[in-house]
Amino acid sequence: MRARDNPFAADRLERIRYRFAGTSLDELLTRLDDMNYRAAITGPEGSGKTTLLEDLRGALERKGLRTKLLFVNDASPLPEAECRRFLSELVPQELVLLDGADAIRRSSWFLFRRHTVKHAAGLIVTSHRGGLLPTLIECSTTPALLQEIVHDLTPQSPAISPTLLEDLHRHHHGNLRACLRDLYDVHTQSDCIQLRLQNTEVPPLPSVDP
Amino acid sequence: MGKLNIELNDAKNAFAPGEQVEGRIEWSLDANPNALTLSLLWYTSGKGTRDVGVLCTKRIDSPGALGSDRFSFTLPAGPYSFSGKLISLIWALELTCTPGSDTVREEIIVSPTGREILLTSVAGQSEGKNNQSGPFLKRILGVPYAGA
Amino acid sequence: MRIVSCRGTGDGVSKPASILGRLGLSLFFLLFFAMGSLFEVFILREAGRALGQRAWKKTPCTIVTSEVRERSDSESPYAFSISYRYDCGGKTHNGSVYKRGYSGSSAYSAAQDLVQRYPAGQTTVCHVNPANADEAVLKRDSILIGLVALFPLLFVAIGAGGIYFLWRRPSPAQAKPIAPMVIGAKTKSKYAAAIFFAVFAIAGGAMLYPLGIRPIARTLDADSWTPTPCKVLRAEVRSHDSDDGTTYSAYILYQYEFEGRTYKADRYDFLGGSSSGYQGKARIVAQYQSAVAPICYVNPEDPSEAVLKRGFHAKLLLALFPLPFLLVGVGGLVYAVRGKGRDASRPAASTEPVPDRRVDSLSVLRAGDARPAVLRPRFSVSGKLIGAVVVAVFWNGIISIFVFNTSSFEKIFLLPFIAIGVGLIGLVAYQFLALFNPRPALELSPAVIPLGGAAALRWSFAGQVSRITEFTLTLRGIEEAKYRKGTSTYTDKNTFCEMELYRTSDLAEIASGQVGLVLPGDTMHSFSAENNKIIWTIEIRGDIERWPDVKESFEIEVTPAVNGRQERHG
Repeated sequence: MRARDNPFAADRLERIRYRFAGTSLDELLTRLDDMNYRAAITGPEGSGKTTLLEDLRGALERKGLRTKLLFVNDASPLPEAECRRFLSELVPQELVLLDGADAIRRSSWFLFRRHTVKHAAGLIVTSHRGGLLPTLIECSTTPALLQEIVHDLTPQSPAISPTLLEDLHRHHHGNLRACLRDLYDVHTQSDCIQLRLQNTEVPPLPSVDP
Repeated sequence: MGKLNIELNDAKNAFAPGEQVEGRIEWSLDANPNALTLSLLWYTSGKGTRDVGVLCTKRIDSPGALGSDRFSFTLPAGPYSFSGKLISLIWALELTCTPGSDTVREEIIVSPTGREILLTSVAGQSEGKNNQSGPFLKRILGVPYAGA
Repeated sequence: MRIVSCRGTGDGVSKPASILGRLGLSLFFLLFFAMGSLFEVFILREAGRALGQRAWKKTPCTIVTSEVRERSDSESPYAFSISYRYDCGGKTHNGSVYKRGYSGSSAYSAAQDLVQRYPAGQTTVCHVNPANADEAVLKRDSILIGLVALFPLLFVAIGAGGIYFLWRRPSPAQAKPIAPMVIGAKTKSKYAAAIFFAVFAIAGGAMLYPLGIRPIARTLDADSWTPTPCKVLRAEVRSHDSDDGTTYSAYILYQYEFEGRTYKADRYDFLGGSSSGYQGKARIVAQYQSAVAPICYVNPEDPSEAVLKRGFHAKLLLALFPLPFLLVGVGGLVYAVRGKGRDASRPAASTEPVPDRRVDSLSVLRAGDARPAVLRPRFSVSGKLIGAVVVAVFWNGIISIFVFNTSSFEKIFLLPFIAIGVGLIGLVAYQFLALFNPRPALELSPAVIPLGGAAALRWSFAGQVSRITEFTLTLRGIEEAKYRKGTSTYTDKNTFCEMELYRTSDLAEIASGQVGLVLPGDTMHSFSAENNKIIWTIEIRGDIERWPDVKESFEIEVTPAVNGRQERHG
């Protein structure tokens, strides 16, 4: 199987939008408005925080609000000089979206929090833990959600069973991103097996309990 | 609804490095756009985050709502179009309209063989850094899963 | 849909600091500049005075009195007191100054040494101020202080340089060459490394003799000294305050008789100095305060020299503390000067992605660099050993100070740190053993190979090649994909091509040899983008029984086929 044809390729995963359970994007926007646009999206790794922030951004811009997104992680850190430069270029009408608030230095975080009170329209952050700002929503995942996403990406994949997805979800402690990355390899491998079987015309192997 | 089209000469979509890519673009839009931009680029797809390389662009300002134009680009020596287990590199011509998000893309192959280079996998030679499920995944991949 | 790359703002492009930041940094550099300048002025002033004293007239003089005087000054209780007579300009003058600025000593032995050097009745030379004949000294100021003048200049340079680079206007962006001048860069870095290690070696050597070799040599020499009963005149723990904290030393002044003469001395051992840990010194002082008939060891060749503690003791190992600096310095210096680095420039990637920017791709690629390239593995074995030694020395040096100056009960709390120290020593031993592994060197000609092209690969080994039982050379092509999302970065690799180039168990062939290789034509060349790469490597493996195998990997550059066509060979 070619990398581009793998249903779990990175660019396809990035097209997945956040799926709400018990609430909706409109409700979140209303809540955000009540919170004066200062809130945090919390949740463990791979629970959809970045995806939700991107969806929120789109919705806010459609409402006519200006946003400025800043993404921070281990590979894209935020030195203090960079942080100050970013804040100095803000205009009061802009809403700051900080993805990875707990990956920046404490001093930079205090700067952000203080500066955006007067010099920005709001501050929405993503964080693994609560406490940075009032929580807008706490993201979480379930095996059923993983199954739903996998079904959308590849409706028919004999190698990917509900049991496999449950095991993956448990093994990765609910980190959907890690589950989907593993499924990339599963799909590649199962495709290789299928190809070999077709070429050798040997009947498929019987199921074996793990 | 507007329509954008990219047509390659002789419907040829496989090229050797260094060759000329020639063709025609056509547009039929509801309104007169500010500009049309035709780009020759490559992008990656696969397990890694996408990379993009734009080689050259041709911009047509105030093209009118209806029209056509010819284009000719010289391809570089590389990178080749290829597909492996983790990475695919795809060459394309992309025509976009501003303002708006109307886009059309025509994929081409850039390769000395005239076909996409296919990279297979040497058995037992894959590894992942920060991959927490190494042994777990090997267990899954080594044995057909119950319920499959 | 428009293709866009997923990027944050951390794109690695440096931006000028804000004005406030620059002002803050300017203050910092100004402080460096000011302190350096102040010290420089002071040192130059002293050097000037010392130079001025060089013009004082040498005049014969006779020493009238010479003795050690004890004062109430707790900092320097022992002063060398002298008086001498000299003639100048037809008149007789009396002098009493040993050296300008001399204020006594905390150690009796230091003052005693001066008395012995300038005994009463001896004729010697004094230096008289030509402008004022009443002013004279026995010993002139040292002009070596002028050498110290270089040190504050470093701070002045840092301060001035920092301010200059902070405020200078940035030069306009220049197009960078695609194939950078790696040869030149390598030569400069080679000499920079040599200078760095030379400083280490000089510092280590300069410290090793007075702190290490001399005390140990004298300790060994004192084995032949005469045991002599002595009387303790004074025994106390002295504290020494510094910026790093308070240290302590045991001070014991004792008196003894040797061949009918009475001497005083205050040397406890040949190491001297002070360290943290009050209890250890207090025990020593208490021991001598309560000693009934303490024994000192007198140098029969110079009875004024004596010591209380002689023979080997664990604390003497501290004297070897400068040794690793010297070894690291010399080893690094040899490595830096001898190491050839790469003879040819490291080839640029065949294509560099320039998202959303125009690229003249034809100029990015070269048909093939015909020059041979000497390939080196990324991390040398000696570099790893040096790193391990430095870490182990620092860690164990610090821990040993605590170990030697704490009670047995307190040592229990040090056990985890001692365990780490032992582990680090083990790591040093491992890396040391790895030093004896034969080291491969590869030469590839041409340095850059087009797909389908041929190249000659020459290898040789330095070291004990006979230990290698089997040698394998493998060409490998690897896909590398990096996925960045959330707070983590994941990197996956897949080998898509593996070609065994050579395998042998013959010793002569292992020691050195050559093989031709032809790259496959229908595969992918080297490619490097921010998140996705195609990497070609040549891997050397040398199996060694009951020892870590030799395993080195060398990255090579594979370019697209020449003229866009597949090369056909063979």
